[in-house]
Amino acid sequence: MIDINTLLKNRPLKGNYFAPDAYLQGDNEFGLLENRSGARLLAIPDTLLKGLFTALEEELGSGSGIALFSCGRSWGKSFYNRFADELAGYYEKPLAQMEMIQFLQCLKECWKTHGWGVLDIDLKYYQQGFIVAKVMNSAYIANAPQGKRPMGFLEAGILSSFFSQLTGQDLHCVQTTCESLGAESNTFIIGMKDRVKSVSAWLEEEHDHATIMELLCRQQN
Amino acid sequence: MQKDFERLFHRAEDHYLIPVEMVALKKHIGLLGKRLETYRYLRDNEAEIFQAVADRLEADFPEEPSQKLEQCLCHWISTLRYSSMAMLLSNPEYLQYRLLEWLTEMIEAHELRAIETRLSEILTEHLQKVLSAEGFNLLKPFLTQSETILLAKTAPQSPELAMAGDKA
Repeated sequence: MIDINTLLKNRPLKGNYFAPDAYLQGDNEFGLLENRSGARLLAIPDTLLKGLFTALEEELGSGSGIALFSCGRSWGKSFYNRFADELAGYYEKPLAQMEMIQFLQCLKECWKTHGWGVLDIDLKYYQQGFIVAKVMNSAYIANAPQGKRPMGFLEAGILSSFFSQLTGQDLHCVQTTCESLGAESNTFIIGMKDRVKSVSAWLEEEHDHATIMELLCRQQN
Repeated sequence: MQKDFERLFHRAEDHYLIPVEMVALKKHIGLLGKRLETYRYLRDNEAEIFQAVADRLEADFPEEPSQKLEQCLCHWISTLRYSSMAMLLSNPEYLQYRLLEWLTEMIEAHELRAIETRLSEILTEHLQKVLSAEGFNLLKPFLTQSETILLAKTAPQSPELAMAGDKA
């Protein structure tokens, strides 16, 4: 028989840590923006993002992608650590004991509350060794040069190091569709570097995301 | 915070509230008192309410492992806690962002919809029995909002729509 009093004592019943009204705190007078754990947040205006993209393109040309990917990768590492610490503190259990679905749900809410767009994680290809991430309304890509090439380098960097930390494997991330090229969303494939290395070549041959996933799984078999 | 009051306070600015607004304010204060009463009842009787629900749920799903039923019960204990606060604040967005949009996919992923649907029916029936008619009516829009979003197979209802439903 279920005893509710025991259930109430032993189970945490907390909701969404990243609910925007609770997560975003600040002091207008001091110009401070903080999250609910007291970590400083930075509001970046669109103009600055546009300026960064333009300056990098100007200075490095196509190499700007590699620079942004590296920035994302190093940022993603700190982001993962902070994310993990805050979640473990709030839900009062180590991350290892957290269910994957709850963890991913928190990541999605976190992504949205920070204003980076709407993230979706597809684990359909997890058994084959791939995670597919989709970002809609990306704030970064909206400010990147349009109509040239997939521009989610920063996000690819963040996602690759975030999932590398989570899985303990060195993972890479490649973008297959991009809002800057008229796609509905930005799609990223995360997997071991040697397994996703062919994706760039398939993209150049103008294969779409679905075909690339098929080729990846076939290559796997 | 309190949407009803916020509107009135913003409207006042450089003048005293006009008689119609004073009447509205009094009405909201009266309602707030009733909301608080309902909130207090739910807070003080949480264990009894859910024990009764748990007993009926176990009878309805004798084959299901109790761990699974406990998980569903936890979801609805949270839901009622957040719904009660949303009722007190008269703010469906509170419920939406603090709990529902986060919880929905977890219910889906665990394939708990059948049990959760029955649980929400039992809980609603039970609350209707133990709360005063007025108290139940104050809480009802938030229970409906939770059911619609957590259990519906169709697209989730937006907080604005839930609010409109509340007024209708």
